[in-house]
Amino acid sequence: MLHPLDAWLGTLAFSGQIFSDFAGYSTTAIGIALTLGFGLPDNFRFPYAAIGFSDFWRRWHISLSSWLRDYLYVPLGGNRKGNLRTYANLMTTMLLGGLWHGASWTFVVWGGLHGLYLAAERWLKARFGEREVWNKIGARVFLAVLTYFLVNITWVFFRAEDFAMAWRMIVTMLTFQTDGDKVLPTIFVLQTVITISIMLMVHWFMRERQLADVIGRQSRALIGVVWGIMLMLIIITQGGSDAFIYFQF
Amino acid sequence: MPSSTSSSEAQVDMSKYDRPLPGKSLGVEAMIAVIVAVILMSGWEMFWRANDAVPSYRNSEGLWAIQRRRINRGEGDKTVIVGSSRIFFNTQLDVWESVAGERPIQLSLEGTTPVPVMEALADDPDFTGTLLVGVATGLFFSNFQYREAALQRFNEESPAQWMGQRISMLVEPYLAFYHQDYSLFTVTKRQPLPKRDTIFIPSDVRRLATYQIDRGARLFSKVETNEAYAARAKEIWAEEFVHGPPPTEEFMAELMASRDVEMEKAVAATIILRERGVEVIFVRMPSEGIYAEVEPMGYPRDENWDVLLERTDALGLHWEDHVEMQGFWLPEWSHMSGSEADRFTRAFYELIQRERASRDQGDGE
Repeated sequence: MLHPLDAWLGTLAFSGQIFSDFAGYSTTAIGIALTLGFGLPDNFRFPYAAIGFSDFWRRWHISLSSWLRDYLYVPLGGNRKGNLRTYANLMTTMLLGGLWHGASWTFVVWGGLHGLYLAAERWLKARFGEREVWNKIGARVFLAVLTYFLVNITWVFFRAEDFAMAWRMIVTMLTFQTDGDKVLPTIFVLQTVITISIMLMVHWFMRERQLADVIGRQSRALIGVVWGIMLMLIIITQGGSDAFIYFQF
Repeated sequence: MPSSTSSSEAQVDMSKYDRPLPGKSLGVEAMIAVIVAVILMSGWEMFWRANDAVPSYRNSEGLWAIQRRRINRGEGDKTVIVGSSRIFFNTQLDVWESVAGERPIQLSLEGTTPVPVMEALADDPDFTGTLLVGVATGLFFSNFQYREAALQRFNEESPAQWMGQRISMLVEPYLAFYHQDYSLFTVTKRQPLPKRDTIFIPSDVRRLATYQIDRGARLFSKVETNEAYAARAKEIWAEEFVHGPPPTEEFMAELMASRDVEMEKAVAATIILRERGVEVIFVRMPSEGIYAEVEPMGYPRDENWDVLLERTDALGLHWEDHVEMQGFWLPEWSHMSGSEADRFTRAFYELIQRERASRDQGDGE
């Protein structure tokens, strides 16, 4: 059994890794396409600043969520055939979305949890969504943090090799039993906390913005210096040639 | 997935594919970026050179694959060296070439058993030369493969990896910082911070060698000249034995089972190689310090080395048996200093010739 801090940091680190991996290579593909004169749509829009799960799926793996919406959810009837069918359609779509990642029950649970989240959000919105309090900044930040927390629960199932491992992680993360092994050295704790904090702040800042617009407003010198520092950091980390995580899907 | 989708959205919105081409040229920014990166990298390079770093080819999987391919490209009749770091660092290819007139192909992999490479060579009819096999018992009989990826790289190298290796080799001999020991995260990982982990996490082994373009290896000069660096290397070697968890009965049983399996594999590969006319020579390099204490206990000679030679009927050179392999300086208990390795290689080559001759004579009688 792990110490809960290690379990949480491992999960948070994976949330950053899978976003950086997948959004990074999506952006690379968009850039390469542009050089050839093709315009591809965004695949990610700062998803960890999402407020709720409808919002999350407008920001995460947009090519998949659009496809699921257009070719599964809507043909199943979408929200046109009553509440019960809408909930069933959401669950069916997300379960199949989970299976799209691979023939494993852990992916099915990942999709099922997202289906449940979407259904629960829809139910809660219908009852409490009109209240003025949800427009206040404190409430919005709370809902964004809650969304990120719940997304991290799903990442455990996405990443775990089997149910037993996923369950051990979930129990450790939610029960805070502090007698488990501390497997992360201090440096990994610092790296994870700093990196994930910066990532979340950037996502929140960019929530309503477009990257191209933000860059377009900066001076040439600032852009050049930031790029130069990023290039330097890429070179001195001497990263390996591991394949992208999402190449397997 | 947006749950508020209405049926009107069933029609796919093609306008989302209309990303406008950027109107702004970013050429100036790119030039500034390159200038900034070059300035910062120059500072980083100077910092590492001031800390005794020297440029060298990288001991990469791609470089191993290049050497491995030589066997299939007309050099299969040469002497090939397999094993782990001791035979890798101790055998100097320049010296061998000067005394033998032929440069061996170096396929040793540090921290890795040579048995899978032996098996692959046994299955490769292009290999007909001489095979020098370094036996570091803790690796050889345990199937430990720290550099397993090298074998995979040879079998599955993609065109992008092939090209990446070539591009990398263009800059490797000129950049001292271009070594895993100086990469940003390796450096941050070894900073002295308060310890919080409650399990044994072995330290990363520091840089120990420099490499030529054909994987000729030599002990990194800092190990010889910097006492603190050599002491740290010894500390890291000793960590596992001193701080690691004591071996359980189950672990020991698995180790012995693995030993038996590896012995069978090595014997089978040797028999195939010898039937094809390949001369196989097993070599046990010298060690000191904690290795000299631990290795005979873990793998007693009479149960392992002697059995291997008896079952394969191959020539074996154990450092305990030959004065030519003794008395060399091992700054960190396991590998010879560069100048000692030069001296050793010459003596080692001559020893091999003498042992061969005496064996042939014995066979003749």
